[in-house]
Amino acid sequence: MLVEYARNILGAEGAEHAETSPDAADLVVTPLSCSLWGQEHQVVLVPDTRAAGLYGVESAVEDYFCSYGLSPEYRPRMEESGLRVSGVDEEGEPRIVELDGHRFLVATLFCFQTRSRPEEPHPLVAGFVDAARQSSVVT
Amino acid sequence: MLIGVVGDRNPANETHTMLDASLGHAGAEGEWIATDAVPSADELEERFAGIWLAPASPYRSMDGALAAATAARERGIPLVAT
Repeated sequence: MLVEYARNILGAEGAEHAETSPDAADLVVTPLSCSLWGQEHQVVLVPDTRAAGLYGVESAVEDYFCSYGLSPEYRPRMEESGLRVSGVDEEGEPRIVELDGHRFLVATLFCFQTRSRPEEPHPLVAGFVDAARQSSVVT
Repeated sequence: MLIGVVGDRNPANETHTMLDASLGHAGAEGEWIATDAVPSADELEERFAGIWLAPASPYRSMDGALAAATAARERGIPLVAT
């Protein structure tokens, strides 16, 4: 999602993901300073974002299977263009981003599906499916 | 209601099987689309109420995953990416 956005919205045609193109000159997704593979960590929700509204809490614990994240160099440009950081770790590093003005476009570094339960769907799954349901009614 | 799950499904990957289960929790159903078999934006929009870019490292076809993300962004199709 970040690579697509960097290429087509920020005009960074050569933007790449460090895992698939480690030698690329322009990396929008870069290795995290330490891998989060198989770990659980707290995510702090940024107030007045879609994600914060869906979670309805100030922070949550989520499962990570990931060693890459948004390049710090790209973050200011992303935010200026309308891609909002709506969840961060305890050091303020981006963990959730969402696109302003889109019906529902949310990307996470963690796998929220692992914390979904039949009696209590994960708030991001529930929010996503609600948005899909509404858009399929409209169209 | 059908969600297009773009990714290369691996039944041994728990994040994939849990993805399917989580959609069920919210009353939706996922249909997997391999990254090297992503259909046109028109077809994505017509067939799927939302698109989930599944966790994958790496995708079999980065271009396919990118095409699905572009379709969702430009056409206002709800998208999540994990």
